Amino acid sequence: MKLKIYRLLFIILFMIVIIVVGLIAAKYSKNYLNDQENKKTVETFSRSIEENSENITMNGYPVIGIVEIPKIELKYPILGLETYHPEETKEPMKIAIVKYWGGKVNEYGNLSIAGHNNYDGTMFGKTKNLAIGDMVKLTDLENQTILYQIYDKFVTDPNDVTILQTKDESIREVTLITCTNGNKNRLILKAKEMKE
Amino acid sequence: MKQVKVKIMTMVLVTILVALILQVNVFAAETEIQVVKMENEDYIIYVKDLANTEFKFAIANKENAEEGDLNYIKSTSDGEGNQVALIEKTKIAENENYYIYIMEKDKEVSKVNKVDFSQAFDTNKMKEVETTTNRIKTELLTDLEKRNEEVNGIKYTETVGGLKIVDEDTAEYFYERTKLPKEKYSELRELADKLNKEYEEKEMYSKIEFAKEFYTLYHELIDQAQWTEVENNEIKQPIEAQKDEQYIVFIKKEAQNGAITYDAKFMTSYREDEEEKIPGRIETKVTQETTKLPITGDSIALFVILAVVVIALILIFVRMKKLQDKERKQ
Repeated sequence: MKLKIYRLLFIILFMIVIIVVGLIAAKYSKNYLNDQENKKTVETFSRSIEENSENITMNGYPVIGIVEIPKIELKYPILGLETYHPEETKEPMKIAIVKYWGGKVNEYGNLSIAGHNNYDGTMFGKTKNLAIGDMVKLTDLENQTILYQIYDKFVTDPNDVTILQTKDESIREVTLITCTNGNKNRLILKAKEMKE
Repeated sequence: MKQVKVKIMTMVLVTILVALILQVNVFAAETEIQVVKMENEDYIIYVKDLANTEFKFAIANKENAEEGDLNYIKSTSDGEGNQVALIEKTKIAENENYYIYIMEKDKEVSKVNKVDFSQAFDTNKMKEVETTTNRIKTELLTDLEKRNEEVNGIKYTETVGGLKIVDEDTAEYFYERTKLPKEKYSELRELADKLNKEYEEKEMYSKIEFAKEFYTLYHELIDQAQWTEVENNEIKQPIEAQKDEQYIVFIKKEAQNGAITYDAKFMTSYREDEEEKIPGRIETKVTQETTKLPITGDSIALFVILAVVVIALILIFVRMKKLQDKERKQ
């Protein structure tokens, strides 16, 4: 009798394993497909600003720029949001990098953008490999590309909103935000415009 | 037999007589010459390769004049150490063809060349070529104009260059500006560079040759120029001009007394762009408050569940094995 119960349990657990593996595969396949979609959006964006055509959207969200980090081969569209609530940014952050705080891309002041720290390295999954001195490029709706250089990298808690502030209105700055330490903290990278 | 001999002798004699009578002169090939008309309307002829050698020359209005009809006279100095043939204006009639015969020192063979006095290059034209770029006073400025534009709280300043005319105030000025490269204009630019670097080192014959080439092209372009009136004595570079583009600017000056002067300037464009953020002018929006940074972590829940289930599976499998072994023993 006991053996029969254990056999039944084994079969049930085995099916659960298959389902969970399937869910994991589906999740990361979705990430991959999403990445392909992001690549197309980046190309479409580049073409549309060169041709001065209408601004493009991605899944209903306006694309306001492109972020590129050559060292980690990252290139994503930046979605413009009108919200500053963490809960409301969850959905768009599944699609691409989002603007969380600040003005327009490449405007003077600090622009904060956020992306998921995906284990498969997509989105901001590789930003932990960046160091001070590395470059970040932002392209805006006027087809202007500005180079920023990372000058600070640190970990802070999720309630530290001071990192969003503009401390110097006369310079262009960008702040990259992603999770670390199992979502308990936030990894912050600060970069400012590199003048020639 | 005798008659044949007599005939032959007669023919030889006749031939000698004819040769003596005709006195056919055999001249050497043409030499190259440059003809210059002086201010007093006399002409001087420069002969290539004979600038430093005394020679004799004669002028005739026939190409194959007889030696006896040629009145050779010695060359003279032009005042700058060059040997030239000086021909007074009274000796030349208009609309007639002339030929110059040149006898180099210690040589008997003459060179002959056709001379077209109507095409002589006058000294005023030479002076015009030699003073090109300095005939109308101008200054090349890199900050002739500053243009400002303010967009979204950012002030954009363009500083561009151009020419400022600093000549007579009472004259009127016109200009034509042409961007290089352009056919013929580029050629003129090259000639102007040579004029600047090589002209002074040339000997007189080559100077005249060069000056003619420059003058001909220069006036060909001036004659077809589309003139625009100069305003405020400033000739600005085109709005779209970038830094270090090359331009030729022709300038025409009309003085109050009616005198017209032309000049050419070779301009390199200048441009500098600056941006400046204007504090407090960026459109400020009403920002909502936020008390937290966004949630950007990847969930590990599925991996945790997988790990737990796999461990449970292993434990159950081990337990099942033990129970099976126990039943077998029983």
